[in-house]
Amino acid sequence: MTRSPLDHQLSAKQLLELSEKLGTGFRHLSDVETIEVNPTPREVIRKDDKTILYQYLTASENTGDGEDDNTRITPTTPLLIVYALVNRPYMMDLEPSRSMLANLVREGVTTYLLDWGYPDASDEFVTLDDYLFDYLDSAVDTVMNRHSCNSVNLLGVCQGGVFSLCYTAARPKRIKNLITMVTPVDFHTDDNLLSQWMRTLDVEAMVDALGNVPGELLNFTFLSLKPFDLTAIKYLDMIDHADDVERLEMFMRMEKWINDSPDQAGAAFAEFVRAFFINNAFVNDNLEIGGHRISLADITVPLLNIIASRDHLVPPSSSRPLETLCGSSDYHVHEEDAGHIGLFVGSSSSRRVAQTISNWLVEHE
Amino acid sequence: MSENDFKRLIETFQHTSEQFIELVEALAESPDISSPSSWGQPLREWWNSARHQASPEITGFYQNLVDHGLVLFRIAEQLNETATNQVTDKPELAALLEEFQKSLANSLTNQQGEGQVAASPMNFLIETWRKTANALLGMSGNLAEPLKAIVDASDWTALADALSGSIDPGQIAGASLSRSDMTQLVNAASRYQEHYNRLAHLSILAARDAMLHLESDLGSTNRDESRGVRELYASWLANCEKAYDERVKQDEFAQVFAGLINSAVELRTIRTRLSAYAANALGLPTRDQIRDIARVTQANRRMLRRIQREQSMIILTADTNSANPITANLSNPESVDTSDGDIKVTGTTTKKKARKVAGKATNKMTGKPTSRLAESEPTKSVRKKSAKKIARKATPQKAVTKPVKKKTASAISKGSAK
Repeated sequence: MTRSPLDHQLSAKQLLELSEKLGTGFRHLSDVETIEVNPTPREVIRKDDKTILYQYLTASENTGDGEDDNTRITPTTPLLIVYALVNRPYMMDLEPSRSMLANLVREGVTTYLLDWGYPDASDEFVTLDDYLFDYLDSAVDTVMNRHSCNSVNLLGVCQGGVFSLCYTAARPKRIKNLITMVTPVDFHTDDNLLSQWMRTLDVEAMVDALGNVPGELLNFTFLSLKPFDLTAIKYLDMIDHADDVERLEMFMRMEKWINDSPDQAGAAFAEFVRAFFINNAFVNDNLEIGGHRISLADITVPLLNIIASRDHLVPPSSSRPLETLCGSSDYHVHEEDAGHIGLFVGSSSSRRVAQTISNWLVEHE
Repeated sequence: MSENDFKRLIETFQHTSEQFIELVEALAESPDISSPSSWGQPLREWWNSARHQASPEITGFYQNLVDHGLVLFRIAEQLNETATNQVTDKPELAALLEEFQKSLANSLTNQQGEGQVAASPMNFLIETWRKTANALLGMSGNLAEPLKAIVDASDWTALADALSGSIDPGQIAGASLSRSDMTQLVNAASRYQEHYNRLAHLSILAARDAMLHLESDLGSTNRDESRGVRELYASWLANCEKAYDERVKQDEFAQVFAGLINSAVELRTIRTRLSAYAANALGLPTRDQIRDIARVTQANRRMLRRIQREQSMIILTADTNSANPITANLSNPESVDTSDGDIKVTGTTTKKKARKVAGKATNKMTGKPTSRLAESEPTKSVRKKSAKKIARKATPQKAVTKPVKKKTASAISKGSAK
């Protein structure tokens, strides 16, 4: 007699364990009021319309006491991080042991972050020109003035990486070193499913009809890329560890981040889709934003490109062409075995990448 | 699939179920929980009583976990019901698959409450698009319901054809619309419904492919390998992802995606236009008029910000000039760098003076008193270390990480050539 492909004893055991784990996990969570993120101490440096410029602090800076390791060499030029518009930047600071920002601060990097905020109906006509050459430009001004320097180090993440490339190409003297993380450059690679979908949209009509583009719509689009992995399978896997409170809390932080998608200012969204997803403007070298002609060939500062090898949102093939398209003769690439999000939330990968950034910046002071 | 196996399963489960009920009682503090009427009933009852003990944020998240837990119970229960009521001489694998398919079908048709929504993974796809439509239109993905408020019809294509013929739209509910408006609206709705139906069709094909993949997986797996209901569900989901991935990469899917979004946008545009008629009639501002105001407001805001920035840069320059920490000033044109499109004073200064200037500059830029950090940061960032320590600091990369590489000489020359 052949054996049944389903082990019933095992099934019953699994159902019991599942129930127990769900019960235990919930008992631990029942006194949790809110899901906390952004654990790294930070100071609001500047509020500018809906944008906020933060500086992240070391523990000693935050408390005003403690000892610094004065023997370490650290980058002297401040680092300004520019995140994407489509998600919130606390992906880089979910919890202390998995915080890219905490790791950068720990490495001695003077770290600023520009938070774009949540656009509302009054921001429908905010353009890429506004984001880049007004809000970002003002943030760069502020950081330079605080440190009496004429240039800053710029780090762009995902769509923020695209912004950083544009800004550096247009304002080369203000950027000392440029770092791009999981940043798309060639939007027309075969494995870029998101780009294939976006190219089919009548984006101008969409923005005319909707005004701002709902974050929820973008979120569903992202989930639709891998719907079973990103929803059902991950929950099923999480049930296996529901009695592990730390893991459960981390999972909830991730969920909070995934579902926290700001609406997109309509004008900027249409411009971005038209320029990059449809016209592939970096590769075709036909980008113009707010009267600024932008070419990657104009980027001559040292450039570190950080790629996640298992990234399904920004496939590595989309990032790698930066090497040949940029004008920098000092180009470095760091490829991490991680996904688009795992790069930031993996405890070892976030530490390793922060060290790589710090070391690279010290070398390029 | 022997009946003995299932009897054993039931006995085991009854035993463990009793333990579970004890746990439920302890957690929920509700000793009068009734006997389970289905395998997942204890879990469902526990959740209904326990969920109020946590904050909404926690409950919302945990609901997903419980939903998928209930699916496991549902699958096991359905497998049991179908298997114990039939005598078959089919090979066990084929019988299992047949039962599994029945269980899925039952899960779909017997959906009860929120917990069963996730019973069909492929439902996720439809659900996603329904929510997408919600985001776009503020209405259900299936247009029949919301549009019934305007016209009462279930066959939109037929209605569209009819409208181009002899039916007077004036006779249809929502009669203040012109014939042309009605035709456009219904045609757009018809196109949207068509794309929605095509998506549903693709989803069904993907579900069928997933089942074929699952069959193949079950057939090829080592029969000595134990597989519980957890693995069965996981395997099914993985095969759904695989089947979906195959479909989604085809041009047809991209066309459906574009068609769905674009037709939804078209529908929304028409609806907005129709709303404008009503607004005009009532003397209210239309959406276009409000957007025109927003556009002008943004242009004014942009101009105001530009003026403020230029003003602050002039004040900064004047301050630095009066403090005289910088050897250059505005009266020396060579020290003013405007190449980046803004005013920037260049020159040399000491770190001490620079900190002083930084503090003043920050005052002007933020309107706040000089912060402790503005003064202390430059000194903190200037630190010494020997070359040996630099080398030690560089952490070796793990196996998964490619080492940071520099451009080759040829690449550098290529870069320079650009």
